[in-house]
Amino acid sequence: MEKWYLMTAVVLLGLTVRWTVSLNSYSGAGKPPMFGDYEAQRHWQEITFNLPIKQWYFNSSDNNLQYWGLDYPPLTAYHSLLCAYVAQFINPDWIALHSSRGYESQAHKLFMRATVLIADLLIYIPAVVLHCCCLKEISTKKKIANALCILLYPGLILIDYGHFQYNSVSLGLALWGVLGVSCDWDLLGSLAFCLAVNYKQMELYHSLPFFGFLLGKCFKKGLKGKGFVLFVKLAGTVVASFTLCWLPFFTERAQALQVLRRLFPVDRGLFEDKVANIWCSVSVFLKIKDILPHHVQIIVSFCLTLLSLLPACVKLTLQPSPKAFRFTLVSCALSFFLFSFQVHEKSILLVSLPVCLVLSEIPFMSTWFLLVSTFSMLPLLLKDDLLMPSVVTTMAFFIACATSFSIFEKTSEEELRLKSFSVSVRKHLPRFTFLPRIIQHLFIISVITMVLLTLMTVTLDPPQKLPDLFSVLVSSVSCLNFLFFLVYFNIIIMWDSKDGRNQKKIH
Amino acid sequence: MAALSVMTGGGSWFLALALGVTLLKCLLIPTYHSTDFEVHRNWLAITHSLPISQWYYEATSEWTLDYPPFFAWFEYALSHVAKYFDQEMLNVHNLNYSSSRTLLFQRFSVIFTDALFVYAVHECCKCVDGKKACKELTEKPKFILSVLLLWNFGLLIVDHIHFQYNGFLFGLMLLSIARLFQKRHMEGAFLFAVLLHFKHIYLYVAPAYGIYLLRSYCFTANKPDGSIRWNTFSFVRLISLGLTVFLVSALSLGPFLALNQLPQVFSRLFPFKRGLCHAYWAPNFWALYNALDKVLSVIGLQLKLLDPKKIPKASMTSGLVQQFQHTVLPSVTPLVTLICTLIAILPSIFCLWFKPQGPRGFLRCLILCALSSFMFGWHVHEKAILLAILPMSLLSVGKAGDASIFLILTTTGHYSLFPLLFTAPELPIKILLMLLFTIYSISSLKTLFRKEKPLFNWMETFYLLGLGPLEVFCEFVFPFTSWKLKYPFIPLLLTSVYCAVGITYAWFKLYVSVFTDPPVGKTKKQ
Repeated sequence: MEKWYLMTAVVLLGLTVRWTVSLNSYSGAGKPPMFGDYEAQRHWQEITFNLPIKQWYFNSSDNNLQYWGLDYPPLTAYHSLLCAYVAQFINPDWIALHSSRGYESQAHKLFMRATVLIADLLIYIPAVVLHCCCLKEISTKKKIANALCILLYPGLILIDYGHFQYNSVSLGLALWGVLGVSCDWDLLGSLAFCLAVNYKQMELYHSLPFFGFLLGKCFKKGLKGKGFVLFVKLAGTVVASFTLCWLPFFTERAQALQVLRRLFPVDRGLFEDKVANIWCSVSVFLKIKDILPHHVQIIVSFCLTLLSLLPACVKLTLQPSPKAFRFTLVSCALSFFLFSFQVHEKSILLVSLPVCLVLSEIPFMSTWFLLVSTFSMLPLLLKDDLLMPSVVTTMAFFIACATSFSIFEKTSEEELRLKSFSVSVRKHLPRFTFLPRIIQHLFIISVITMVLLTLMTVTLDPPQKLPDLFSVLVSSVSCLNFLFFLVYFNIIIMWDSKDGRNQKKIH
Repeated sequence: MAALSVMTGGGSWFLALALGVTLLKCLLIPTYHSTDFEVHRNWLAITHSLPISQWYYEATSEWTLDYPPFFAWFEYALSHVAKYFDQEMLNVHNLNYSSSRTLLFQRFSVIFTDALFVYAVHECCKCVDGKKACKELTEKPKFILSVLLLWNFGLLIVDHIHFQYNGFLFGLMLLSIARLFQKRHMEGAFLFAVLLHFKHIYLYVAPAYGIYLLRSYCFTANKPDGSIRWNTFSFVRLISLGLTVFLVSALSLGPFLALNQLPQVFSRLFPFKRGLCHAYWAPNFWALYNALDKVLSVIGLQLKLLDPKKIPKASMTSGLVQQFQHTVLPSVTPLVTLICTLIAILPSIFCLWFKPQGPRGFLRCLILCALSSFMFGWHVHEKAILLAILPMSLLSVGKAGDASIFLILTTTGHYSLFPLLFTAPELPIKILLMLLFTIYSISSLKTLFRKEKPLFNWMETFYLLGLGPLEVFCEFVFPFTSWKLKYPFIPLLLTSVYCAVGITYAWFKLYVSVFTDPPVGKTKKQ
């Protein structure tokens, strides 16, 4: 690549922004007794380092599961153990059993932030750069601009480097999976994705498109010949990688079951805090949590999720293509986020990742979505004292997208990928030509609402009777936006092949 | 929507670059800040709460007001905004006060006043006559120049981490240079006079301004061979120039003259009681001189030529003390440095007078003045290298030879700023930003001049690459060795000597290029 230096500059800029954000506060800083996710990650280092592997997921006198008990899959635990070894080398106090609880210091913060940066640098960032280099049919300059926008996506930066989590690991592995599967390295791709799932169970949001896409590939090659061989190979890879990750827990039945119970805490509520999904938004008017019994809630949420993602997944299985795969990843993850059981506000990052992948194809809508997704985490970010970095990185991201894709000029039906949809609607409604304009207006309304709500949340005190007024408003507004995006992405997916055929005719 | 698309279309890249770096500056708000933060807070308090007659006498804090009056007025103006943020920071006796609102106000005051710098860069970019051939935006000289100036590593860390107000001051300087390029001489002279009364360090480059304006503005025409035509001297122009400078000075110093405080003001502005070198040696000629002295004294001790009892103790731990005693070589007095500086400046001034080459020649002379005074000045700060780096950026996009000098000067000069930031959280920032700027500047200028001979020879490449291992040694290896307690000054010493070599080399090369380059007229014909 002749412009490698610009790509290097982009990566360095991304790293600089990440590190400057990490100078800010983290979740639960100086807030005993529970602290926040930062303490959770530190606590996991303490647990995995000091206790034998068999006790990691079990409640004991040394491992109080009520206090940030380990509830992520084994790979996270191994990662914590690795970090703990480094911590032990630098300062054993950081991970001393019991006595290190709630440990906070400048040096420790620096260490924790550095572990995130290193993980990011090793897994997520190379995947993004590779993805942008592999993009087809666009100029080198656009590839670099694309990398800049993806690396500046504020949601991930703020959660990983502000709030404190290791999402870049699981998302990065998933991205490697997407890359592998799209480039026909199916085995490596599925291996990477299995690792992602074993790092964070939330990656299951992405699993159905992966399954559908790979199954579709097998079908395409013919189930009796090569397709069957591929299928067996894939199944073997998946089983092998899962077995490897879970090996220490397969010694006893109780072990594996306990881990599963920790990973999928079905006895927790339908949703937690204020999430921008259907259940939380509906609860404003209708207290579902109280009306429906617990198991009915699970069934209803499961059915709705399945219903909303089924069409896209079926279509992907029947007509597998890398492009359709990326779009299906978006709609599927969005369905999970909106309808499934026990969703966190941070789970929106799982939708944002595939949206980043389609940034170059539908820049206007992707930018819009990514802005909304960051906005939907506003209450969380405010709680962590991250207002300043949030505003700054969001503006930087917006400017980067606006200048590198000139998004405001790309709002025609063609560029919104709505051509074939509009054509088919026009068969019944000949005057249906106003869709792009409606979308433009919706964008402006949405942005203005977000800005106003942010200003209100920051400056005004909520009325005493409704202390959660602003966070509920934020989540409901975001939820409305997300519903709109769900419809939009499903339309794109369902009308996609016609679009392709039309284009072929033209050429 | 239409308005938005206009905003983001066409020439929006400059806006995006400027906004981007502004946002980066906002992200740097929570970083470490040096005592200069307290210095400026104290000045806010002094100018806000005391009458003018006390400004240059007040000494509650050790950070007394030692900038010229315009800067004091600038702080006075700022203080009237500051009172809406936090009244407490305006109390003279509130030493080392830094509430979060104070921090926010001070940081934002730097970011906002940088608007002038952005405007100046915009004007400078207009003056660059680039090759018209290249279509690619990222290869246009204008684009490269604006990145080099707006995203300048040195300015970012000195202003927005270390904390100073260089941004708008350099804005004034670049703006006045741009005005001279645009043939608006009076405006340029006025801006420079104002600048001098903001910060007197710019006196270093005043000779270039004086001679250039006299030679190319007061004399309205040249003989065909470029030599001076004495009968074209315009008295009106000279008087109007003089009047401008006089009026600006009167406005600045007049009140203190009326109060009969001028000697006090000057004693604050020019403190000659400080040592030859700053605590951390700026990478100039004296750093090499000191290092040579030290090497000679060690050799002398080994060969028993020197008596160990006669060697002053402090000299062995220098780098940490202000007063440096030379053991072998003669000690240096302020007068010597002054003479050295003058001798170093003179050739470039002569060149500007006898071989005028328009604004570019002026710019060259200005950079030489800045560099020469950096090389030989008394108590030079490492930050003063920016005075040469920023104007040099303007030259760098014009000619391959200048680009090569610029890159050596900038890379070493920027590296020599590293000791300003010594705290652990800022370590990744300075390394990342430095890499970002260095990789961009080298690669983009290489792309720009790819058709000409390579920018560096093997020796220069080797030298620049050596900065990497040096940084690794100073920051990552040295702290874990046993020398850390015994010789804590070694990293600083190595850094300043290593950088001094590069900067001296760049200074020398620039001087050579001034004398050997063909005059403008001839190059145009080619």
